[in-house]
Amino acid sequence: VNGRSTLGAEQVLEQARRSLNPGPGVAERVREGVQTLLLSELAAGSRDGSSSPPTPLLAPPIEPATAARRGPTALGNGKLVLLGAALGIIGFWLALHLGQLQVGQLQVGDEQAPDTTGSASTQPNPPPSTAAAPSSAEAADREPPATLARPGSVKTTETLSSEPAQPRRESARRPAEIQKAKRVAATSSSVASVSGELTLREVLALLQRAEAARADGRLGDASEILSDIDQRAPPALLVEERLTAGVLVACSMGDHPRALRLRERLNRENSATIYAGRLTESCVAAQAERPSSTR
Amino acid sequence: VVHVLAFPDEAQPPPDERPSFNALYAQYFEFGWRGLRALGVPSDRLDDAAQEVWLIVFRRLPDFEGRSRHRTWLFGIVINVARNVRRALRREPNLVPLRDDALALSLDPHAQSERNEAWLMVEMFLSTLDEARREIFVCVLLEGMRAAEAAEAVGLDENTVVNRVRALRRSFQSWAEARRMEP
Repeated sequence: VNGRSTLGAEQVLEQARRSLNPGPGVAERVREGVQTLLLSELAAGSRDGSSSPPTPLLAPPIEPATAARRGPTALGNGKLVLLGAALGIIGFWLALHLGQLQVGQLQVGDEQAPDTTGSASTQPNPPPSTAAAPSSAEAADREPPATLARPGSVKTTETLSSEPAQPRRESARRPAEIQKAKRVAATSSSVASVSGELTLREVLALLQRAEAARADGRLGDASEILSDIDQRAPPALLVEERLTAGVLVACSMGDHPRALRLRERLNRENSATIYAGRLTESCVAAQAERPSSTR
Repeated sequence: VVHVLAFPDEAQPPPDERPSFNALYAQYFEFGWRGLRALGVPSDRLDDAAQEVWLIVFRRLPDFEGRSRHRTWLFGIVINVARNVRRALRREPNLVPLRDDALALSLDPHAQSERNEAWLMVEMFLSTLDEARREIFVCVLLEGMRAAEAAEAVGLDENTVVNRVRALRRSFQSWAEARRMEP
Protein backbone atom coordinates (compact mmCIF):
# COMPACT_ATOMS: atom_id res chain seq x y z
CA VAL A 1 0.00 0.00 0.00
CA ASN A 2 1.24 3.45 -0.90
CA GLY A 3 4.23 2.26 -2.80
CA ARG A 4 5.32 -0.53 -0.51
CA SER A 5 3.22 -3.36 -1.88
CA THR A 6 4.73 -5.40 -4.66
CA LEU A 7 1.85 -7.85 -4.92
CA GLY A 8 -0.28 -8.26 -8.01
CA ALA A 9 -4.03 -7.72 -7.84
CA GLU A 10 -4.84 -11.42 -7.52
CA GLN A 11 -2.25 -11.87 -4.79
CA VAL A 12 -3.58 -8.86 -2.97
CA LEU A 13 -7.05 -10.37 -3.02
CA GLU A 14 -5.80 -13.69 -1.74
CA GLN A 15 -3.82 -12.10 1.06
CA ALA A 16 -6.73 -9.85 1.96
CA ARG A 17 -9.05 -12.83 2.11
CA ARG A 18 -6.70 -14.58 4.50
CA SER A 19 -6.42 -11.56 6.70
CA LEU A 20 -10.18 -11.57 7.17
CA ASN A 21 -10.25 -14.98 8.80
CA PRO A 22 -11.38 -14.97 12.41
CA GLY A 23 -8.83 -15.39 15.15
CA PRO A 24 -8.60 -18.41 17.40
CA GLY A 25 -11.54 -18.86 19.70
CA VAL A 26 -13.88 -16.60 17.76
CA ALA A 27 -16.03 -19.41 16.40
CA GLU A 28 -16.50 -20.84 19.86
CA ARG A 29 -17.26 -17.44 21.31
CA VAL A 30 -19.92 -16.71 18.72
CA ARG A 31 -21.38 -20.17 19.13
CA GLU A 32 -21.72 -19.60 22.85
CA GLY A 33 -23.37 -16.27 22.14
CA VAL A 34 -25.86 -17.87 19.79
CA GLN A 35 -26.66 -20.51 22.32
CA THR A 36 -27.08 -17.98 25.09
CA LEU A 37 -29.49 -16.00 22.95
CA LEU A 38 -31.47 -19.11 22.20
CA LEU A 39 -31.64 -19.91 25.88
CA SER A 40 -32.82 -16.40 26.66
CA GLU A 41 -35.53 -16.67 24.08
CA LEU A 42 -36.44 -20.08 25.33
CA ALA A 43 -36.90 -18.65 28.80
CA ALA A 44 -39.08 -15.90 27.38
CA GLY A 45 -41.01 -18.37 25.26
CA SER A 46 -41.69 -20.72 28.13
CA ARG A 47 -43.13 -17.84 30.15
CA ASP A 48 -45.45 -17.14 27.26
CA GLY A 49 -46.42 -20.77 26.93
CA SER A 50 -44.67 -21.29 23.64
CA SER A 51 -41.50 -23.28 23.25
CA SER A 52 -40.12 -21.47 20.24
CA PRO A 53 -40.96 -17.81 19.69
CA PRO A 54 -41.18 -17.24 15.94
CA THR A 55 -39.37 -13.92 15.85
CA PRO A 56 -38.49 -12.86 12.32
CA LEU A 57 -35.00 -11.46 12.46
CA LEU A 58 -34.49 -9.95 9.07
CA ALA A 59 -37.85 -8.29 8.68
CA PRO A 60 -37.23 -5.25 10.90
CA PRO A 61 -33.96 -3.35 10.76
CA ILE A 62 -31.60 -4.73 13.33
CA GLU A 63 -30.52 -2.33 16.00
CA PRO A 64 -26.79 -2.18 16.64
CA ALA A 65 -26.89 -3.65 20.09
CA THR A 66 -28.81 -6.62 18.87
CA ALA A 67 -27.67 -9.23 21.29
CA ALA A 68 -28.24 -7.26 24.44
CA ARG A 69 -31.42 -5.57 23.38
CA ARG A 70 -33.09 -8.66 22.12
CA GLY A 71 -32.88 -10.18 25.57
CA PRO A 72 -34.45 -7.76 28.01
CA THR A 73 -36.65 -5.88 25.57
CA ALA A 74 -38.09 -9.07 24.19
CA LEU A 75 -39.01 -10.17 27.66
CA GLY A 76 -40.56 -6.96 28.85
CA ASN A 77 -40.02 -5.52 32.28
CA GLY A 78 -42.83 -7.29 34.11
CA LYS A 79 -41.96 -10.62 32.68
CA LEU A 80 -38.33 -10.04 33.46
CA VAL A 81 -39.11 -9.51 37.13
CA LEU A 82 -41.17 -12.68 37.26
CA LEU A 83 -38.54 -14.61 35.41
CA GLY A 84 -35.81 -13.28 37.68
CA ALA A 85 -37.73 -14.33 40.77
CA ALA A 86 -38.35 -17.78 39.37
CA LEU A 87 -34.74 -18.21 38.36
CA GLY A 88 -33.58 -17.00 41.75
CA ILE A 89 -35.64 -19.65 43.52
CA ILE A 90 -34.44 -22.35 41.19
CA GLY A 91 -30.86 -21.18 41.53
CA PHE A 92 -31.11 -21.19 45.31
CA TRP A 93 -32.56 -24.69 45.24
CA LEU A 94 -29.86 -25.92 42.91
CA ALA A 95 -27.14 -24.34 45.00
CA LEU A 96 -28.48 -26.10 48.07
CA HIS A 97 -28.87 -29.49 46.46
CA LEU A 98 -26.23 -29.70 43.83
CA GLY A 99 -23.55 -27.52 45.30
CA GLN A 100 -22.12 -26.37 42.04
CA LEU A 101 -23.74 -25.65 38.72
CA GLN A 102 -22.24 -27.27 35.68
CA VAL A 103 -22.99 -24.58 33.17
CA GLY A 104 -20.30 -25.97 30.92
CA GLN A 105 -22.64 -28.81 30.14
CA LEU A 106 -24.50 -26.42 27.92
CA GLN A 107 -21.73 -26.76 25.36
CA VAL A 108 -23.28 -27.58 22.04
CA GLY A 109 -22.97 -31.20 21.16
CA ASP A 110 -22.24 -32.31 24.69
CA GLU A 111 -25.44 -31.56 26.52
CA GLN A 112 -27.42 -34.21 28.31
CA ALA A 113 -31.09 -33.64 28.67
CA PRO A 114 -31.44 -33.42 32.47
CA ASP A 115 -28.40 -31.17 32.95
CA THR A 116 -29.34 -28.96 30.06
CA THR A 117 -32.73 -28.33 31.52
CA GLY A 118 -31.27 -27.47 34.87
CA SER A 119 -28.63 -25.23 33.49
CA ALA A 120 -31.05 -23.47 31.23
CA SER A 121 -33.17 -22.55 34.18
CA THR A 122 -30.25 -20.89 35.83
CA GLN A 123 -29.97 -18.16 33.22
CA PRO A 124 -30.25 -15.12 35.42
CA ASN A 125 -30.14 -12.47 32.75
CA PRO A 126 -29.94 -12.13 29.03
CA PRO A 127 -26.45 -11.72 27.62
CA PRO A 128 -24.68 -8.44 27.22
CA SER A 129 -23.88 -7.28 23.76
CA THR A 130 -20.66 -6.95 21.95
CA ALA A 131 -22.44 -4.45 19.78
CA ALA A 132 -23.01 -2.09 22.66
CA ALA A 133 -19.83 -0.45 21.52
CA PRO A 134 -19.04 2.95 22.94
CA SER A 135 -19.15 5.95 20.74
CA SER A 136 -15.92 7.88 20.54
CA ALA A 137 -17.32 10.42 22.96
CA GLU A 138 -18.57 7.82 25.38
CA ALA A 139 -15.30 5.99 25.21
CA ALA A 140 -13.59 8.96 26.77
CA ASP A 141 -15.78 8.64 29.83
CA ARG A 142 -15.74 5.00 30.61
CA GLU A 143 -14.23 1.64 30.04
CA PRO A 144 -15.42 -0.13 26.92
CA PRO A 145 -18.12 -2.70 27.56
CA ALA A 146 -17.07 -6.27 27.96
CA THR A 147 -17.44 -8.27 24.83
CA LEU A 148 -19.59 -11.32 24.92
CA ALA A 149 -16.56 -13.39 25.60
CA ARG A 150 -12.97 -12.63 24.90
CA PRO A 151 -11.05 -15.50 23.37
CA GLY A 152 -10.26 -18.05 25.97
CA SER A 153 -11.49 -16.00 28.86
CA VAL A 154 -15.20 -16.46 29.40
CA LYS A 155 -16.83 -19.79 29.31
CA THR A 156 -19.95 -19.76 31.39
CA THR A 157 -23.18 -18.07 30.66
CA GLU A 158 -23.26 -16.81 34.24
CA THR A 159 -20.13 -14.80 33.63
CA LEU A 160 -21.58 -13.53 30.40
CA SER A 161 -24.59 -12.17 32.18
CA SER A 162 -22.72 -10.42 34.91
CA GLU A 163 -21.78 -7.30 32.97
CA PRO A 164 -24.29 -4.50 33.34
CA ALA A 165 -25.18 -2.20 30.50
CA GLN A 166 -25.65 0.77 32.80
CA PRO A 167 -23.31 3.35 31.22
CA ARG A 168 -25.21 3.36 27.96
CA ARG A 169 -28.37 4.53 29.65
CA GLU A 170 -26.44 7.30 31.34
CA SER A 171 -25.13 8.57 28.04
CA ALA A 172 -28.59 8.51 26.56
CA ARG A 173 -29.70 11.06 29.12
CA ARG A 174 -27.02 13.55 28.20
CA PRO A 175 -28.12 16.70 26.45
CA ALA A 176 -27.82 16.55 22.72
CA GLU A 177 -25.48 19.52 22.62
CA ILE A 178 -22.93 17.87 24.87
CA GLN A 179 -23.14 14.73 22.84
CA LYS A 180 -22.55 16.65 19.62
CA ALA A 181 -19.65 18.68 20.99
CA LYS A 182 -18.00 15.58 22.36
CA ARG A 183 -18.61 13.72 19.15
CA VAL A 184 -16.88 16.32 17.03
CA ALA A 185 -14.00 16.57 19.48
CA ALA A 186 -13.66 12.83 19.73
CA THR A 187 -13.79 12.42 15.99
CA SER A 188 -10.38 13.96 15.65
CA SER A 189 -8.72 13.36 18.97
CA SER A 190 -9.52 9.69 19.15
CA VAL A 191 -7.53 8.94 16.04
CA ALA A 192 -4.43 10.86 16.96
CA SER A 193 -1.39 8.67 16.78
CA VAL A 194 1.30 8.93 19.37
CA SER A 195 3.66 10.75 17.02
CA GLY A 196 1.01 13.32 16.14
CA GLU A 197 1.05 12.59 12.42
CA LEU A 198 -1.83 10.55 11.18
CA THR A 199 -1.15 7.10 9.84
CA LEU A 200 -2.71 5.56 6.78
CA ARG A 201 -5.28 3.67 8.79
CA GLU A 202 -6.16 6.74 10.81
CA VAL A 203 -6.61 8.84 7.70
CA LEU A 204 -8.77 6.12 6.24
CA ALA A 205 -10.89 6.00 9.38
CA LEU A 206 -11.30 9.77 9.34
CA LEU A 207 -12.22 9.75 5.66
CA GLN A 208 -14.87 7.17 6.39
CA ARG A 209 -16.20 9.37 9.14
CA ALA A 210 -16.22 12.39 6.94
CA GLU A 211 -18.12 10.43 4.32
CA ALA A 212 -20.57 9.19 6.93
CA ALA A 213 -21.03 12.72 8.26
CA ARG A 214 -21.70 14.01 4.76
CA ALA A 215 -24.20 11.24 4.07
CA ASP A 216 -25.81 12.07 7.37
CA GLY A 217 -26.14 15.75 6.48
CA ARG A 218 -23.62 16.89 9.10
CA LEU A 219 -21.65 18.90 6.61
CA GLY A 220 -19.89 21.02 9.21
CA ASP A 221 -18.54 17.91 10.87
CA ALA A 222 -17.46 16.49 7.54
CA SER A 223 -15.65 19.68 6.59
CA GLU A 224 -13.97 19.87 9.97
CA ILE A 225 -12.74 16.31 9.74
CA LEU A 226 -11.29 16.92 6.28
CA SER A 227 -9.52 20.07 7.48
CA ASP A 228 -8.13 18.09 10.35
CA ILE A 229 -6.77 15.49 7.97
CA ASP A 230 -5.16 18.19 5.86
CA GLN A 231 -3.42 19.64 8.88
CA ARG A 232 -2.20 16.42 10.41
CA ALA A 233 -1.68 13.91 7.63
CA PRO A 234 1.29 13.71 5.28
CA PRO A 235 0.32 15.69 2.16
CA ALA A 236 0.58 12.80 -0.28
CA LEU A 237 -1.28 10.28 1.83
CA LEU A 238 -4.57 9.25 0.19
CA VAL A 239 -4.60 12.60 -1.54
CA GLU A 240 -7.06 11.54 -4.23
CA GLU A 241 -9.47 10.19 -1.67
CA ARG A 242 -9.20 13.36 0.39
CA LEU A 243 -9.75 15.63 -2.58
CA THR A 244 -12.72 13.59 -3.77
CA ALA A 245 -14.29 13.74 -0.34
CA GLY A 246 -13.55 17.46 -0.23
CA VAL A 247 -15.28 18.06 -3.55
CA LEU A 248 -18.37 16.18 -2.45
CA VAL A 249 -18.56 18.00 0.86
CA ALA A 250 -18.03 21.39 -0.78
CA CYS A 251 -20.76 20.61 -3.28
CA SER A 252 -23.11 19.55 -0.51
CA MET A 253 -22.39 22.81 1.29
CA GLY A 254 -23.09 24.80 -1.86
CA ASP A 255 -19.50 26.06 -1.96
CA HIS A 256 -19.08 25.71 -5.69
CA PRO A 257 -15.82 27.69 -6.02
CA ARG A 258 -14.12 25.52 -3.43
CA ALA A 259 -15.44 22.37 -5.10
CA LEU A 260 -13.99 23.60 -8.38
CA ARG A 261 -10.62 24.34 -6.82
CA LEU A 262 -10.45 20.92 -5.27
CA ARG A 263 -11.54 19.28 -8.49
CA GLU A 264 -8.77 21.12 -10.34
CA ARG A 265 -6.28 19.92 -7.78
CA LEU A 266 -7.55 16.38 -8.21
CA ASN A 267 -7.07 16.69 -11.95
CA ARG A 268 -3.53 17.87 -11.38
CA GLU A 269 -2.82 14.96 -9.06
CA ASN A 270 -4.28 12.38 -11.40
CA SER A 271 -6.48 13.28 -14.32
CA ALA A 272 -7.46 9.63 -14.72
CA THR A 273 -8.47 9.22 -11.12
CA ILE A 274 -10.77 6.31 -10.47
CA TYR A 275 -12.92 8.65 -8.41
CA ALA A 276 -14.02 10.56 -11.48
CA GLY A 277 -17.10 8.36 -11.55
CA ARG A 278 -18.09 9.49 -8.11
CA LEU A 279 -17.96 13.10 -9.19
CA THR A 280 -20.12 12.74 -12.26
CA GLU A 281 -23.20 13.61 -10.26
CA SER A 282 -21.55 16.32 -8.20
CA CYS A 283 -21.70 20.06 -8.74
CA VAL A 284 -18.45 19.86 -10.71
CA ALA A 285 -19.64 17.11 -13.01
CA ALA A 286 -18.51 18.96 -16.12
CA GLN A 287 -14.99 19.21 -14.81
CA ALA A 288 -15.07 15.58 -13.76
CA GLU A 289 -15.62 14.44 -17.29
CA ARG A 290 -12.68 16.18 -18.88
CA PRO A 291 -9.04 15.98 -17.88
CA SER A 292 -7.43 19.07 -16.55
CA SER A 293 -5.65 21.24 -19.09
CA THR A 294 -2.94 21.92 -16.57
CA ARG A 295 -1.66 18.38 -16.70
CA VAL B 1 -36.98 -27.55 26.64
CA VAL B 2 -34.45 -30.15 25.72
CA HIS B 3 -35.50 -30.07 22.11
CA VAL B 4 -34.94 -26.35 21.80
CA LEU B 5 -31.68 -26.40 23.69
CA ALA B 6 -30.20 -28.89 21.34
CA PHE B 7 -29.25 -27.83 17.88
CA PRO B 8 -31.04 -29.74 15.15
CA ASP B 9 -28.57 -32.52 14.72
CA GLU B 10 -28.60 -33.33 18.39
CA ALA B 11 -32.36 -33.30 18.59
CA GLN B 12 -32.89 -35.71 15.77
CA PRO B 13 -30.81 -36.95 12.90
CA PRO B 14 -31.43 -34.84 9.83
CA PRO B 15 -33.36 -36.52 7.05
CA ASP B 16 -31.88 -37.07 3.62
CA GLU B 17 -28.84 -34.92 2.87
CA ARG B 18 -29.75 -31.87 4.84
CA PRO B 19 -26.68 -30.89 6.83
CA SER B 20 -26.86 -30.20 10.50
CA PHE B 21 -26.44 -26.78 12.01
CA ASN B 22 -23.17 -27.88 13.54
CA ALA B 23 -21.86 -29.14 10.23
CA LEU B 24 -22.74 -25.89 8.52
CA TYR B 25 -21.24 -23.91 11.36
CA ALA B 26 -18.00 -25.84 11.21
CA GLN B 27 -17.79 -25.57 7.45
CA TYR B 28 -18.88 -22.00 6.90
CA PHE B 29 -18.20 -19.99 10.02
CA GLU B 30 -15.02 -18.49 8.60
CA PHE B 31 -16.73 -17.82 5.30
CA GLY B 32 -19.55 -15.95 7.00
CA TRP B 33 -17.15 -14.04 9.22
CA ARG B 34 -15.04 -12.96 6.28
CA GLY B 35 -18.14 -11.91 4.42
CA LEU B 36 -19.33 -9.73 7.28
CA ARG B 37 -15.95 -8.05 7.58
CA ALA B 38 -15.55 -7.53 3.88
CA LEU B 39 -19.04 -6.09 3.64
CA GLY B 40 -18.11 -3.38 6.08
CA VAL B 41 -19.21 -4.64 9.48
CA PRO B 42 -16.77 -3.00 11.90
CA SER B 43 -14.84 -5.14 14.30
CA ASP B 44 -16.79 -4.06 17.34
CA ARG B 45 -20.02 -5.28 15.74
CA LEU B 46 -18.70 -8.50 14.29
CA ASP B 47 -19.60 -10.78 17.16
CA ASP B 48 -23.17 -9.57 17.23
CA ALA B 49 -23.50 -9.69 13.48
CA ALA B 50 -22.12 -13.22 13.36
CA GLN B 51 -24.50 -14.27 16.11
CA GLU B 52 -27.32 -12.75 14.13
CA VAL B 53 -26.33 -14.68 11.04
CA TRP B 54 -26.15 -17.99 12.82
CA LEU B 55 -29.35 -17.44 14.73
CA ILE B 56 -31.07 -16.94 11.42
CA VAL B 57 -29.40 -20.03 10.01
CA PHE B 58 -30.51 -21.99 13.04
CA ARG B 59 -34.09 -20.87 12.67
CA ARG B 60 -34.36 -21.19 8.92
CA LEU B 61 -32.42 -24.35 8.39
CA PRO B 62 -35.48 -26.58 8.82
CA ASP B 63 -37.16 -24.66 5.99
CA PHE B 64 -34.16 -24.71 3.70
CA GLU B 65 -35.33 -26.45 0.56
CA GLY B 66 -31.99 -27.06 -1.03
CA ARG B 67 -32.76 -25.10 -4.18
CA SER B 68 -29.48 -23.25 -3.83
CA ARG B 69 -26.14 -24.16 -2.38
CA HIS B 70 -25.73 -23.67 1.33
CA ARG B 71 -22.92 -21.23 0.73
CA THR B 72 -25.15 -19.10 -1.47
CA TRP B 73 -28.01 -19.25 0.98
CA LEU B 74 -25.71 -18.34 3.84
CA PHE B 75 -24.16 -15.48 1.94
CA GLY B 76 -27.62 -14.06 1.30
CA ILE B 77 -28.13 -13.98 5.05
CA VAL B 78 -24.70 -12.43 5.57
CA ILE B 79 -25.51 -9.71 3.06
CA ASN B 80 -28.78 -8.85 4.78
CA VAL B 81 -27.24 -8.71 8.23
CA ALA B 82 -24.34 -6.61 6.97
CA ARG B 83 -26.76 -4.22 5.27
CA ASN B 84 -28.65 -3.79 8.51
CA VAL B 85 -25.48 -3.14 10.46
CA ARG B 86 -24.30 -0.62 7.89
CA ARG B 87 -27.69 1.07 7.97
CA ALA B 88 -27.44 1.34 11.73
CA LEU B 89 -23.92 2.70 11.40
CA ARG B 90 -25.12 5.44 9.12
CA ARG B 91 -27.39 6.53 11.93
CA GLU B 92 -24.46 6.49 14.35
CA PRO B 93 -21.55 7.55 12.16
CA ASN B 94 -19.24 8.38 15.01
CA LEU B 95 -19.13 4.73 15.99
CA VAL B 96 -16.83 3.81 13.14
CA PRO B 97 -14.07 1.91 14.89
CA LEU B 98 -10.53 3.09 14.67
CA ARG B 99 -8.69 -0.10 15.21
CA ASP B 100 -9.45 -3.52 14.00
CA ASP B 101 -8.23 -5.88 16.66
CA ALA B 102 -9.11 -8.81 14.50
CA LEU B 103 -6.16 -7.87 12.35
CA ALA B 104 -3.78 -8.49 15.19
CA LEU B 105 -3.68 -12.23 14.81
CA SER B 106 -0.81 -14.50 15.44
CA LEU B 107 1.39 -15.58 12.52
CA ASP B 108 4.81 -14.39 11.74
CA PRO B 109 4.83 -10.62 11.76
CA HIS B 110 5.93 -10.23 8.18
CA ALA B 111 3.21 -12.44 6.78
CA GLN B 112 0.61 -10.80 8.99
CA SER B 113 1.79 -7.37 7.99
CA GLU B 114 1.58 -8.28 4.31
CA ARG B 115 -1.94 -9.61 4.77
CA ASN B 116 -3.02 -6.58 6.71
CA GLU B 117 -1.65 -4.28 4.04
CA ALA B 118 -3.41 -6.29 1.37
CA TRP B 119 -6.70 -6.02 3.22
CA LEU B 120 -6.17 -2.33 3.80
CA MET B 121 -5.72 -1.89 0.09
CA VAL B 122 -8.83 -3.91 -0.71
CA GLU B 123 -10.76 -2.09 1.99
CA MET B 124 -9.84 1.25 0.48
CA PHE B 125 -11.01 0.08 -2.89
CA LEU B 126 -14.24 -1.30 -1.43
CA SER B 127 -14.93 2.03 0.21
CA THR B 128 -15.14 3.58 -3.24
CA LEU B 129 -17.93 1.22 -4.32
CA ASP B 130 -21.63 1.38 -3.79
CA GLU B 131 -23.30 -1.32 -1.76
CA ALA B 132 -24.34 -3.58 -4.63
CA ARG B 133 -20.93 -3.52 -6.29
CA ARG B 134 -19.22 -4.10 -3.00
CA GLU B 135 -21.33 -7.21 -2.45
CA ILE B 136 -20.51 -8.54 -5.89
CA PHE B 137 -16.82 -7.83 -5.39
CA VAL B 138 -16.81 -9.72 -2.10
CA CYS B 139 -18.80 -12.64 -3.49
CA VAL B 140 -16.88 -13.20 -6.67
CA LEU B 141 -13.46 -11.58 -6.49
CA LEU B 142 -12.74 -12.11 -2.84
CA GLU B 143 -14.57 -15.34 -2.06
CA GLY B 144 -14.37 -16.90 -5.49
CA MET B 145 -18.08 -17.62 -5.87
CA ARG B 146 -19.43 -18.20 -9.34
CA ALA B 147 -21.37 -15.41 -10.99
CA ALA B 148 -24.59 -17.42 -10.82
CA GLU B 149 -24.17 -17.93 -7.09
CA ALA B 150 -23.38 -14.28 -6.55
CA ALA B 151 -26.40 -13.27 -8.61
CA GLU B 152 -28.65 -15.35 -6.42
CA ALA B 153 -27.10 -14.12 -3.18
CA VAL B 154 -27.17 -10.48 -4.19
CA GLY B 155 -30.52 -10.60 -5.94
CA LEU B 156 -29.44 -9.53 -9.43
CA ASP B 157 -29.54 -11.31 -12.74
CA GLU B 158 -26.49 -13.21 -13.80
CA ASN B 159 -25.63 -11.07 -16.81
CA THR B 160 -25.52 -7.95 -14.69
CA VAL B 161 -23.24 -9.68 -12.24
CA VAL B 162 -20.94 -10.92 -15.01
CA ASN B 163 -20.65 -7.44 -16.48
CA ARG B 164 -20.05 -5.83 -13.13
CA VAL B 165 -17.45 -8.41 -12.18
CA ARG B 166 -15.59 -7.70 -15.38
CA ALA B 167 -15.63 -3.97 -14.72
CA LEU B 168 -14.73 -4.42 -11.06
CA ARG B 169 -11.81 -6.65 -11.88
CA ARG B 170 -10.47 -4.10 -14.36
CA SER B 171 -10.94 -1.24 -11.91
CA PHE B 172 -9.29 -3.10 -9.09
CA GLN B 173 -6.33 -4.10 -11.20
CA SER B 174 -5.71 -0.57 -12.37
CA TRP B 175 -6.32 0.73 -8.88
CA ALA B 176 -3.86 -1.72 -7.35
CA GLU B 177 -1.38 -0.87 -10.07
CA ALA B 178 -1.76 2.83 -9.37
CA ARG B 179 -1.16 2.18 -5.67
CA ARG B 180 2.04 0.36 -6.49
CA MET B 181 3.26 3.26 -8.58
CA GLU B 182 2.53 5.85 -5.94
CA PRO B 183 5.61 7.63 -4.57
